[in-house]
Amino acid sequence: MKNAHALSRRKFLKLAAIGAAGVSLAACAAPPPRVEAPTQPQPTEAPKAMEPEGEITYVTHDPTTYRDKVKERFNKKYPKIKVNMQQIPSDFPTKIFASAAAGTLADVVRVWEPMVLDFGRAGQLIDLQPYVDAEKDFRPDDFIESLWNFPVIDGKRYGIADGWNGHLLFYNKDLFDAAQVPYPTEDWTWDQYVEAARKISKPDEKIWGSDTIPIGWLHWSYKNVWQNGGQVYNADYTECLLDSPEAAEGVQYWADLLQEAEIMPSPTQAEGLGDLFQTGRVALQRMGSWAIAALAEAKFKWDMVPEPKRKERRTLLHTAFNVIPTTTKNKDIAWLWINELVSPDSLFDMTHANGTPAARRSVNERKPWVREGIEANWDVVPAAGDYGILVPAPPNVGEVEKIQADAFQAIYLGQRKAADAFKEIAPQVTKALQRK
Amino acid sequence: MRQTIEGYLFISPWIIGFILFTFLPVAASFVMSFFNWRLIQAPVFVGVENYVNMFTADPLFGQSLQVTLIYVVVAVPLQLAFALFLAMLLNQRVRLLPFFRTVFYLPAVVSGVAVAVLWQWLYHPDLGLINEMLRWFGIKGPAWLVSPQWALPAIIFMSLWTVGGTMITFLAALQGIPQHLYEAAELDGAGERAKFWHITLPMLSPVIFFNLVLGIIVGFQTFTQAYIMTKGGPLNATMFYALYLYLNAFNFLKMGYASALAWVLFLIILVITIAQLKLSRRWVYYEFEEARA
Repeated sequence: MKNAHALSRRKFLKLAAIGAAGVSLAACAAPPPRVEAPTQPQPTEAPKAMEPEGEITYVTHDPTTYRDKVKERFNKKYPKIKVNMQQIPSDFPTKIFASAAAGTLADVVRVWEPMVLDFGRAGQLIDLQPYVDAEKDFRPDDFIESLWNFPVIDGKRYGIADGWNGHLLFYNKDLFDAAQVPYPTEDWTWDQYVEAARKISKPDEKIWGSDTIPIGWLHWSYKNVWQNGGQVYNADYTECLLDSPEAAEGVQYWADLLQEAEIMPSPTQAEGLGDLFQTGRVALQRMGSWAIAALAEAKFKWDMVPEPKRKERRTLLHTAFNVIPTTTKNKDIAWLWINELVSPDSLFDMTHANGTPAARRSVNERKPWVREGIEANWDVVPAAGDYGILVPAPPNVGEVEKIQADAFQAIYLGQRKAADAFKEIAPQVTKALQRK
Repeated sequence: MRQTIEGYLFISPWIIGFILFTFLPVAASFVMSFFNWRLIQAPVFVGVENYVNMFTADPLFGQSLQVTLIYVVVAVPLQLAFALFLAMLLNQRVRLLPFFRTVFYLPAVVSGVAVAVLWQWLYHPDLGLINEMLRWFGIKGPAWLVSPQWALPAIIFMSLWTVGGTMITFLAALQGIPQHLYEAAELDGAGERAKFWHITLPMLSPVIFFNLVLGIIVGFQTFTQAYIMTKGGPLNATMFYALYLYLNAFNFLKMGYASALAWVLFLIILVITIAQLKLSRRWVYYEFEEARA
């Protein structure tokens, strides 16, 4: 919907500068983002005479070394294309949004869940669907549905996922054995989790059955809502549903345990101590599968099962999407790079390097996340993709999540009851969701 | 004429830098404050809506202003008093004086981020040095940075560690007080306390005023400690104004609203500074004015 008062950014910057100093800033300003129809994509198997050439930049949050083999393979296929890899390890969203505002986004960017939809809604990304359709061997049906369908708005595809992580329940076998408590099973409930944690906990010795609640990590807490049958938002992100009894009960369940500080360290006790599971001080941890990389070096025996449930089997999934900003001058070359990144062989190389499952099912048959020499229940890792929910991506995400984060913090610190807090903030969140 | 042109040429790097990187961005932010600009979308003119919302529909604006005011009202006088106390100690004729001066000034040159990280550990509820020292006296220390009640006092207390710069200006001013004033007072039978209240303080008043004005301006712009140590929490207990402004700009992508916040902060600082200048005539003593009169 076009607002009558909307200005292009060029006009806006001009106005700003004229008002300020009587000179135009426009010359300094980057060209405004334009939503362009993608050029007619060419099949990647072009004849030698039309060999594509150019230079693109690929920006990621994670280490570029995960894609060393991918780049090698791409260079063999397209020797005249140079791919510059750039990692932004800290303040990633801030820097990406600032680049977008300046019109200097890289040719291909690997963005997180809220960012892909935010940029998509703002018309900053090109529609990749025509490119996908032009590739004979792409096989969209090979992708995990939730990952494939996520970055689509009004039929336009703004990104393609590569690897992902799901949250699992990790447990320290040594602590379970010492307390003579049976190991967790795949169909554990929250109550069973708490019962086992109580038997293991020795707070005086700084040993706890359960890890603490990471109260500053909002998305982590969504699991407490989902596993109790609640929802955070409706399907099209126009309404906050936290004011349901399921959501309040689910969060209050864990908040009470945190306040009790018998089976898990309180926020005060856990402050600044790092990962208590990795250091062998807690027996149970609900964490993303990236934890496996560090656990491979652990000095204790460990294993993993799906997260416990109360009413529903749910967990949190994280992924990232490869996108092409509208500002790039190398759309076709950028697509060749994305096509390579998400090809089965490249996905295997990347996910094997960082130890995660891939977005393609066929790649997961080769089990890239398995660490050789470590015995563990490896099959639960990809299974999370079938029942997990991706990090939600509401509009006005920063503001929407700040309102919730404050409420969750008050609940976990024992300052408010979940039912009261959620009843109060749900309309505020809904209002923020609907604000244009 | 030629000399004038040459003069301008010499200072042109600064002038160009000032215009490009300070004046224009500041002025542009004023224009932005009348727009709704989500950074990645076209700006929409909203008139004074950002300013109206600030005072009518944003509880965190009030909270951040309150936190910042408390910090300024409590921390700035404490910093001045502590810096003056240190300067007076370092103005004594004792052994290893250069060493002590260096030691007390050193924290002032350490990066704010490093200071924040260091104090995060000092404030650790179980392992931190501060609670450990309290335990020596049988006191159970608070949870400091994870306690809504203690997080702001912790940041205020921490600010005393970096008063080295203020201390140096006090030290220089103390050494500039003419010795004959003290000698004359001693002849009149003045004790140490009388000399402090009737000579040292009045003679230092211009420097106290300078440090007060600077301290308040810097206090209103406090950001790093909260950004690194608490992210504004717990429960927004350390949501400083500058941090809230940053969150609006880069987390909420409300660049227009953040610009409006910046201009309100500017106005607050401007009004307080002008008030200080007016009030200073009542308590700041300038020796040259006396001589001129």
